[in-house]
Amino acid sequence: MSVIGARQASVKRGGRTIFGPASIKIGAGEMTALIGPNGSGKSTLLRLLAGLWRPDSGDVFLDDKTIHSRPRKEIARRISFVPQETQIDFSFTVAEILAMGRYAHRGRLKPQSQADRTAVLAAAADCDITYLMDRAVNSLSGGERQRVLIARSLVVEPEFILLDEPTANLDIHHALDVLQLCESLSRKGKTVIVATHDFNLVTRYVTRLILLQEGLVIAEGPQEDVLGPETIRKVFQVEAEMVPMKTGHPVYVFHQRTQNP
Amino acid sequence: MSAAAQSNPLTNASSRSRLRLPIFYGILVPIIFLSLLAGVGIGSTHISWITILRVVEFKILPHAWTTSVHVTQADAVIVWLIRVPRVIVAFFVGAGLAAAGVLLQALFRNPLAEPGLVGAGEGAVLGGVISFVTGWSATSVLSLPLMAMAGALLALFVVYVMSTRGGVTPVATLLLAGVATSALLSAVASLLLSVNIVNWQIAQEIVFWMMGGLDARTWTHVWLCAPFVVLGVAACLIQTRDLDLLQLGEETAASFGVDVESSKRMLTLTAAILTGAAVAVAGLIGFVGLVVPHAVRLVLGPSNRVLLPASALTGGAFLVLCDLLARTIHPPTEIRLGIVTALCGGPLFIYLLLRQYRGAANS
Amino acid sequence: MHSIRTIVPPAVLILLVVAIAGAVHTYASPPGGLQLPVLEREDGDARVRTGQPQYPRDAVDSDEITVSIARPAHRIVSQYWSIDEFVYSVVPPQDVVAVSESAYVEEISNVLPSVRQFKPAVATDPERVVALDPDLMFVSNNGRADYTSLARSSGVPVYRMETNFETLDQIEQNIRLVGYLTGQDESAAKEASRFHDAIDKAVSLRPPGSPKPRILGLGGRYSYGKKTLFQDVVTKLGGVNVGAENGIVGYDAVNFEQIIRWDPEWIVAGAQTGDTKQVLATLMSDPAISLTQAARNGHIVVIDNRVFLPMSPYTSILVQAIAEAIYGRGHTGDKL
Repeated sequence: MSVIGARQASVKRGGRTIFGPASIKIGAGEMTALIGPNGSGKSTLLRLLAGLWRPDSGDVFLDDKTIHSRPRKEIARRISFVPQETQIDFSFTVAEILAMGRYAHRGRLKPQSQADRTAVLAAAADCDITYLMDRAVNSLSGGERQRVLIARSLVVEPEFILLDEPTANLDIHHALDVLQLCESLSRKGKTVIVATHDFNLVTRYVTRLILLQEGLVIAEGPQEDVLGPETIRKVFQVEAEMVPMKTGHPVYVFHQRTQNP
Repeated sequence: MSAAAQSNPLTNASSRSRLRLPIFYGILVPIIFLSLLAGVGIGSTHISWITILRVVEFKILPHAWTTSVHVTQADAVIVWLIRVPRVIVAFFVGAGLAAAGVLLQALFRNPLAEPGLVGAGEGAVLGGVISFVTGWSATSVLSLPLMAMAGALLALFVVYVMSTRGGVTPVATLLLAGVATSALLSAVASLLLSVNIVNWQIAQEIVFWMMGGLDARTWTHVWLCAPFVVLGVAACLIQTRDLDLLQLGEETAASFGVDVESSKRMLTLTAAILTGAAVAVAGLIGFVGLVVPHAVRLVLGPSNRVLLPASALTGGAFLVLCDLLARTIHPPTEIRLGIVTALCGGPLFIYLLLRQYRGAANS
Repeated sequence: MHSIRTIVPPAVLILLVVAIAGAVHTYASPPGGLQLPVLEREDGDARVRTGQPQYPRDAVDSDEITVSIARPAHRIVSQYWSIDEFVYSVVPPQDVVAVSESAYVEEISNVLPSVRQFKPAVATDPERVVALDPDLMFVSNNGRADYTSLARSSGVPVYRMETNFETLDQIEQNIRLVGYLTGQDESAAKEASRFHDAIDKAVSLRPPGSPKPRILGLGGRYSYGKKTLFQDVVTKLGGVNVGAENGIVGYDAVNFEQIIRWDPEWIVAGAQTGDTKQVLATLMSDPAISLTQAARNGHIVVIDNRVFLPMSPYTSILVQAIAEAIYGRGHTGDKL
């Protein structure tokens, strides 16, 4: 049973606690969203769970052990982190980028194996980028690049996929593609965690929301438990009107907060 | 493509525009071979090819086989003690500088980085200047190269310690510390030079050395330089996958299992050793570490597994040819090697950039 | 705490460098290079450590290496400008196959006629030198060690010569040494005599019992103190070296205040060929120097660098020039 989570984890900078203490637990096959305004600690929590950052107190665990007690390669094989789209100045081809994802499986010296090749092709197919394999990655559009990054994380064949603002710079149809892809991955048994500031877009896809504000987890659970109009007013400083949808997941329409308190 | 494409015209290549590896080596290896031959065959005195072959044969084969070979002492000295070590040193210095350039371009995630950025080059120069000014360079062949190597490593140590906190070395800080330290060390070297300018012979030697040069290279210099270059390049050939991932971002690399801080330490140390070994035996030679990796990357692509050995070999051939030019343009005066590499490397670089830029604009 | 870690390493580096620079400056040298502490300087034959006059002849050079010479040399290479002058004053000019670069430079060379006639190669390129098939090479103790080791590995006898002299006697000894090494003993003895006699003649120009003139030597803004050849020249001529009098050791900078305070009676300065009049004029109008006795009495002597700078047999001309200027006709003027 794959479980990832945090126990009273907090992060300090310059003596001040900027995140936490926070405790959450995310189990296998779930698609979870970390939501909250900018600066609320979504990215921090995501990176703590990915094992990229160490908590200054408390603990982040993977299954039954502290994540940092596990070998680096094991963490890399089981957890995959997809960063927000970054500028790449080097003209690697998409195929080369995907092949790099097998680093944790291959190490420094072993040549490419059949398993590596299969993983690359499968990931490319899943993300619908097979037609881009020979292109230089820095000649792609934003959406294509994001799909390449997700494919690269799939190449790892991880149990957990953590994505940081995957829809931030995308056209709407690309954004929906990405989210649909994430949902299908979670249905296949992977645990998907998405950090996003656009909660309106993700509510349809996720089974659970974790709401953060100013470095603390203030609510978690399914949409109806977490995102009531009161909470939205308090955390996001806007008036929200819930509009019921046929999908069963209401969406929100926002109004500017009135001047009167 | 879509308007959202923020592509950098400098690197806007698809794999179709890359040269295939066998073609590249098919061109490079003969060039290396020819340039080594030219370096040994051409000099300020004329020696026939037969004589050169006989000398090499005499020196390499066991003596029993060569009793009938007849070469004069002068020819043997010129070929085996003057030309051959010089050409070998040129090759290894060029290879070392080019390899250091590849490493630093990966470390700083920038195709325009070059070996001097972490302070090792100027540290080596200062070490050499101190050796001249104290007179130690007059006493022993080893003192100048060893002081230069020590200077390179000391400078790197200072830069590294300044920019590392809690075991983490942010690359931006490393760059700033390196640039600042280079400036400081260069100023100190100039200060020592100016204080000693009255002693014109020492001053002249310092200035000539600072402009780079391979005059009077002996087999001692070969053994001082070659092992470090070979070791350095080998150490990095093992790390090429880490390099590739580091180039894409530290967070990315970490998430794929790379030990980022340890990799960066290894990278900077190896780059410093390569640079130090090169400056120790050849003075300050610029442009090789910048132009060669960049040019080879434009031709072969950014994968370090391919780029590193190709750059090293290309750098070696490039410097052998530059040294040949330095010796033969205006005999018997030698033009300083650093000047020749700048004069050759600069226009070559501009040409490559223009070609790439025009290619991107047309696509 | 963080700021300490940032400040300490560069501070250490700067301190280290400053300490080294300071040490270097303290042990600053007379023209021609730094004194290597290893060599002991003594007068007389100790500098010329040679063996028996029969061949093969042995001699110990400035690196403490014993050089063995099998026969008189007739293809000689000189790598340093003052060694050129020693060699040409002792051996027939056609026996010199390579010289230093300076030999061909008009402003500094005293051997131009010989090199123009016989056109020896320039000794900077080791390949050319080896190709000439020399039988004896002279290199300076200041030259780079890699050049010297390359020369030594070529199989030719290489004698590394000490080229910084502190006394005229040492120059005379060196003339004999060059004769010994090249097999031109007679010629060297003759030249050594000539040198010795010229010095004696110059010394004799001094009227006995006359007061000791206080002389300051000037090379640019630098003066010559104790343990320099200039000191020996001045002492032999019966003068007082103002630089040494005031504590300068070797070759060191002097400033306005010092020159005014020391107030030398005579100033002897060097100038590039053709510039002697100009340098004289500049010195006379220099704010510090114009206040000295030397300037007020017209006792400034400007001497061509070709004689002023080298420490070689040509130094006898320097001694004569100074003697004539002070004791002979005793007027201000430029020489040569």
